[in-house]
Amino acid sequence: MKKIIIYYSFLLVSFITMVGFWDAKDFSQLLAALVFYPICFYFTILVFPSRKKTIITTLPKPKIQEAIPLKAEVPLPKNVDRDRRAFIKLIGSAGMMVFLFSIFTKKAEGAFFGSVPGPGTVSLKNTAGVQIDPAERSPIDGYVLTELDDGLTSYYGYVDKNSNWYILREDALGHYRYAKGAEQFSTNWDNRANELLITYDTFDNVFSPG
Amino acid sequence: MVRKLQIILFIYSLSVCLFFTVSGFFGSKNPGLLAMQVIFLPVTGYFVVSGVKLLKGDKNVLPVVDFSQKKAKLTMAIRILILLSIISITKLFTK
Repeated sequence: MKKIIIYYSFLLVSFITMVGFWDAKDFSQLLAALVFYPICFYFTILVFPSRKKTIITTLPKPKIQEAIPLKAEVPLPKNVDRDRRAFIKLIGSAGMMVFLFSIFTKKAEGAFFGSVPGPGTVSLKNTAGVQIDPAERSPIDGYVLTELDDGLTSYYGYVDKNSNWYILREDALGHYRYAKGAEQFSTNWDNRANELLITYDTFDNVFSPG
Repeated sequence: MVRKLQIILFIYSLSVCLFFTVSGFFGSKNPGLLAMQVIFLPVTGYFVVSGVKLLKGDKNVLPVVDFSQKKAKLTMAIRILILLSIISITKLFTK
């Protein structure tokens, strides 16, 4: 049991230290890895003990016995290979650690470094390689086509669920101009061709936040 | 000297683990951090139990740090630490 805990601790602390060193985004994360490094060293010398501790003994000469002809293959007794058992324990504790991480945390580094953003931030890029915000909304999201006046100059009336509206004007030369408002869509639609009452402009001038 | 280093290393590890666990349990605000404390609990438990054993007089809980050999583990650990620090600092400055 003690050996399992030592192996488990060794793997856990080594993992924390290596992730800390490898994915450090700033000096505070590097400092956290440095704090854990002596503990990693402590468990390393527990898991890989000094060779000088090995006890060298002189084995007595084995008694030579007469060879007995084997009739059948003698099965090996169970639980003989201690190295194999230690290896299985090592693999088992590593697997358990990975399993626990997969259950409890989506981002392990987020757990290590608390509120400090982890290095695994997911970002999207467009074809030019520029980072984009996938949650960004278009200012005309939510509007639905409500009225249509198709002619030499065409008008398209759009309304959203909060009665906000905008009218798109398409002239014969292929220019698209917009006008928007917050209420009374029907009145404004009736006056759509009256330039004195409704001012049309380009998309950026009409829908820009400023 | 070796004995002193063993004790310093042990007390340092015990202190860091205790601080990490106690502050984590009392200050954790998200479930992920709390889960990390639960995962880390056996490490702290090992040090606490070893500390109690050490206080009772059992000296076998301390790891053996060898200074005599040329490729001593401490020297190797310091070399690895320096190497890792250089890699990390280089990565930080190149970003």
